[in-house]
Amino acid sequence: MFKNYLILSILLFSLGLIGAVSRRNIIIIYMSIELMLNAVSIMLVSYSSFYNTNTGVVLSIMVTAIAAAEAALFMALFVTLYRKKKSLDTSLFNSLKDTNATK
Amino acid sequence: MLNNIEIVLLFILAISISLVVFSTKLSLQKAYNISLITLSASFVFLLQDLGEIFSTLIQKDIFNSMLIYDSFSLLFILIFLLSSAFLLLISKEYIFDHKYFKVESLIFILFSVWGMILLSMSNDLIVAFIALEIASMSIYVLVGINKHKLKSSEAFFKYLVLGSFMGAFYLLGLTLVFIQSGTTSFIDLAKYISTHEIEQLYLVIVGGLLIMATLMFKISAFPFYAWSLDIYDGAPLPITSLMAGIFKISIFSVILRLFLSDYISLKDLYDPLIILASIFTMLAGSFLAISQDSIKRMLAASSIVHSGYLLIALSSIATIGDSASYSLVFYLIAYFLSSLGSLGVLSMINSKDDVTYESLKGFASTNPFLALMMSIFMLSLAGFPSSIGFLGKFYIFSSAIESSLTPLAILGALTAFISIYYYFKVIASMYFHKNISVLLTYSNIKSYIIIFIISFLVLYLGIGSSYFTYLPGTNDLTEFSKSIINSL
Amino acid sequence: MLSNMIFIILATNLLISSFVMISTKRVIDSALSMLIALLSIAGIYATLQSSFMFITQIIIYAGAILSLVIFIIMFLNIKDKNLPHEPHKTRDMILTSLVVFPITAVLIYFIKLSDFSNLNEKTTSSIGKVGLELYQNYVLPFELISILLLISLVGSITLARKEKDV
Repeated sequence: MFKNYLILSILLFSLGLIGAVSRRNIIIIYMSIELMLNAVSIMLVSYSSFYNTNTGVVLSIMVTAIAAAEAALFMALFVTLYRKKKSLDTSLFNSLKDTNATK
Repeated sequence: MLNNIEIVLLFILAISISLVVFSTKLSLQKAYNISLITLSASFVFLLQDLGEIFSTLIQKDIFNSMLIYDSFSLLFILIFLLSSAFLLLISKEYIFDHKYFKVESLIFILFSVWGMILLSMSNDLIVAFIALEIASMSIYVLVGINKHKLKSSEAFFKYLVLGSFMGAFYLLGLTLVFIQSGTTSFIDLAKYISTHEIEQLYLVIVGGLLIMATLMFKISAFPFYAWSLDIYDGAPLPITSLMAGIFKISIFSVILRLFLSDYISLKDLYDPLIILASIFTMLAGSFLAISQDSIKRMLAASSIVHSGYLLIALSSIATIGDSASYSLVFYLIAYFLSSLGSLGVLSMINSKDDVTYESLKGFASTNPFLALMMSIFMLSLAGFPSSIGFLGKFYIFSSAIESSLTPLAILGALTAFISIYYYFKVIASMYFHKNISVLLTYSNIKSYIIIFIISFLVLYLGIGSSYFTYLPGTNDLTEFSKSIINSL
Repeated sequence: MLSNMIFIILATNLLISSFVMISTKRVIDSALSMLIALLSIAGIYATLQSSFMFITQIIIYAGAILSLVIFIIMFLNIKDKNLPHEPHKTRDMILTSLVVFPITAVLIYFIKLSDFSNLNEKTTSSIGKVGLELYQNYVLPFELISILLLISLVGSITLARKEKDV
């Protein structure tokens, strides 16, 4: 039973991974990263419940707090991106690549 | 009673939080002075801990042995404090000349140094991750501080998305290690690994691999090197220096602690991967560095190559242990001095556009002093004899040969030869062109003195100490690096 | 038996809604399916009898973080024409899944392989015990998190603030 929870969270992590790599919408990328962190949380809580300790729950509180801290910076990122480009497309941000010219 | 390091940690934290509170009332000049005094006072204060080899757990009962303070972390803490104080002194004019540097930027520099100090002291996977996040979140903000420049916002975007993406891998690795072993503490983990068979270690191994992947991303090693060039390029120059020089060293401090204290019995498993990473890091970095036009991008790309050299030392730790780890520590010192110096010289050039090889032509005739200093740093980065960079490379390659990794050492020497091309191109364009350079430089006497001190250290630790045998020098430094490894 | 059924239903719901989340085109659809996914995760915490994480998940994730995301979507007033043009979305996602699949397979294989001995029956974890664990053994990370949150707070204000041109 414990392994089922672990496998579920690995599957969820992979779904988040696919979303974060293949999509170009910045808000969806952010939500995929949140999904990956949630998958980690499920693993920790199920450990806690099956091994009858509270350490897993405490660690998953840490994960939640780290996710919240990242959320604040991501909100700032959405605002700056949208102000500059009027779009959420990450592929529009490629001016750094242009200077990569080899002469 | 508080330890010296606890006083320093609380002091820096208190200063940064009070700067946050008073950030609207303070002028940039005052905040600059306060942060400079904070960093240098902490440096001087911690110097009294040098000497005896020691290792103490900080507030063992309250913090549950999650922080460790030993000679090893002391050396790294001194490096962080000294180099960030130097960084502030060198780039004073840059900070005051660019209007986007506000009081907040100085606060984030202080916070990131604080996080790095904590990172080098951490004795637990979750503390290490939070310290890493404190340091890197401050750096995310610093990278994007120039809101009017598209490049800067873009570097912020890339660093934030990739950084939190890789952070999720660290957390997954931590969780896999935790659900197998039931602990996140380095000490208990080492105990668990040494007392269990390989059948009960699968998840610890996979988790360790994921954790290593995140750390490799942070030092911009092979599979993840492509990001670093754009981010280093988009950031303001002092911040590039902070990332390429100081932050990278702090990551290596935690990698070394992980490697030497915990994963001793698993090192053989990771070794082939690290060798592979170091080969490709060196090759890819050299290839990128050759093709760059701007000096800043070239230095950013060459810092990838230096990560490759450091990974060589890391891979030879598995076979010969301590003598390879002191070569790594020595190379870290050499690298931090040279990269701080070279990026510092670059930040003293007052130019709206990027400094390229083209615009450096004839720089030696308009500003002979800075040109000379730049040449010294280039020689040291290229590993030219008589500089500290040469000794560092020499130790790394000899320890690689000692641990029968001769092909790796040969490849390292080969990329060092390639690096002569792009480093000497800088010297050549400064000295061998009759053009009159149009580059203006800031003339702040303090920055010149600091640059001179760094270049003096580069030469003195490279060759000078053999003439003045009665002064502390290279031999004492290598002895010291050997001894701090024993404190782990 | 009943708890197994509930777990299977919640897990299917979670995986389907997260798949919708990563594959839909419009952001608001994606955010709403994220809400369903987060609530199913809360349900999974309930099957694990972890009351504290159940309520935290609902309050913090579904309540705070997701409503922040929806607020930002409304605030930026994103029109369909401002959405990224992704003509090769399906192809990209299939290619990425081909790359990700081996990683997933390896992880699941190792989980299947490793033995977890001395498993207990699921037990209810009370909030009091979680608090004791937090303050007895994990007080340092807890304090550090507060500094991390301070940094991200100041950082996001610094970055999102509008400034005069210089």
